[in-house]
Amino acid sequence: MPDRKIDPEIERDLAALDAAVHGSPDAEPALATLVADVRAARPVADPIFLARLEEEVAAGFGRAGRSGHRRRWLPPLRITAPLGAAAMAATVAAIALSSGGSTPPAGVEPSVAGSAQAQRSDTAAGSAAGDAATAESQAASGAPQRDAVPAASAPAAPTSASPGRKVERAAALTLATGRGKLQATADRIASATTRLGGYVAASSISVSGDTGSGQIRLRVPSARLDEALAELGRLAHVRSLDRSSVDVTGGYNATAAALEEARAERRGLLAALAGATDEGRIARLKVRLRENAARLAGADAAMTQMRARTERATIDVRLETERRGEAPVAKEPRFGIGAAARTAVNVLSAAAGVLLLIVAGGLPLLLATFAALIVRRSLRRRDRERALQRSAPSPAA
Amino acid sequence: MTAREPQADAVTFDALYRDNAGDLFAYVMTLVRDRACAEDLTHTAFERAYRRFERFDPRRGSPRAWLYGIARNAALDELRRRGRGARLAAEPPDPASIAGNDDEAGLERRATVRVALAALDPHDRELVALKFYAGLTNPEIGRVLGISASNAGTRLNRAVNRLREACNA
Repeated sequence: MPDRKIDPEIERDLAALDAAVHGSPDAEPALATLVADVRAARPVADPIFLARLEEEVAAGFGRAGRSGHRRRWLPPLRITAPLGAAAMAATVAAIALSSGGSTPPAGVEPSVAGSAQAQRSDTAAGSAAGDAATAESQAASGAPQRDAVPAASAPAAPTSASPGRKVERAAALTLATGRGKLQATADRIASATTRLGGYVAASSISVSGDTGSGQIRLRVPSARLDEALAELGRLAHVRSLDRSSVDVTGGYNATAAALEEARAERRGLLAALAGATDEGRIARLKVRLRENAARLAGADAAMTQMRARTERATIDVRLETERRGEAPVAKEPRFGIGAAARTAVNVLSAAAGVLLLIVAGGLPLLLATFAALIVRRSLRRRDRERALQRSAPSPAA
Repeated sequence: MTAREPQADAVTFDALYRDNAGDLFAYVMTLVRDRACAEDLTHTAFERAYRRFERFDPRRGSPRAWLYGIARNAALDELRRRGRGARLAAEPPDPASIAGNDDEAGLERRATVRVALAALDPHDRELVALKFYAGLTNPEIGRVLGISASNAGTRLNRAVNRLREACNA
């Protein structure tokens, strides 16, 4: 507390008072008398009370509870510190795991892109041009995956469209076979396709010695496209896989509507022809029936084609033989040093983030608590002084 | 503070107790003016001081000032709880203060001083008690009251002057 310089006269008076209080022979007599008289009025403690109090002091006021009284509300630091560290570690671990700390294995890229289906709705009168086509393709790296299931691992490639949607699906697959195994692999591809309810729409194989290449077009039920791709991926090394899908709901519905309209018109014309008696009218109706027949045939053909597009998916398979000296790429360990390093960075980042949140959240709380304590202390002090003032003797006393 | 040997603690606190027990009671009694209450508060003050003695920091003042600060807070908290009920009838004069003194003028003078003390403002009476009964220095008084040493000196001087005026009135 800053101490101001006291008034010299007051300082002299205080010095005189101290001399009287300490019984100095040089003390002012009046002051010395006052000190003696005041001390004569000094309340004296009851000896019995003092004796009891001395006993309690000697006993340490219940010494057993003395050592533990301090911070009874808080466990010792040797317990809180490890607990706090463990809690912090658990929090960091939970954050790291939940935030997807597991990065993709090094060297093994996902070989299938998500096939995005644009669910843009077409108008009923829209033609095929109104179809929303969103094709996404992702070429995998050169890492062959003998037992990979590319289709199954596609992150966003639903095997079936939403109810009511018509989707045309397709895939392009490049397989690498061992030297001299091209034809055998092609045969296995055909067998697998047949088992899945599909068929080989076209095939072209070229073999020279123990090398060669081939192109095979497969048509499989759209609902079994993923299954087919997985099956094919097990027959040879998958070098690449592209997938695409086109929402043709608008065109499909328009084609179906045109077909129904042509049929309805035919029914109407036939009914009118059955009731016609006028030669001229009969001739005109027959002309319209012939025109309708052409339209009906066209609509029927378009509908058949639309059904074929949506009910079956196309897989274009390219076969290649592995190049001389090209060793099959060993499967990378799922968790190597690189992945461990990335995970470690993620964990440290998460820990730093947690610490930052604690500081950001805790600092205002700390400041507010500190301010509240100061205010509380100030108020309590004010209340105490007021209590002392209220204890003044009443005028009647 | 480093951990002390319990034996050393007992000796140091014991000395603090022995040097201040009677004076502390006198001071507390001056505040609350109720003997039973003063005894309870004196006991409470020493007990609190004993339990907190390990945490006492000498750099913050003398042990005496620290002890009287504990007692003051306890007494004022008691006054707060009682509200205005602390205005009790004055304690009868201590016979020991009267007995043995055959000087009639002295008796009258001391009675005058006693009346003047009782009529003092509570803050002034407290200052008188801290200086006359406990013998605290001005810095120690400032420490107890939470004010500066110079402020404590100024207030003390004023209190003594008022007492002298009341006695001479």
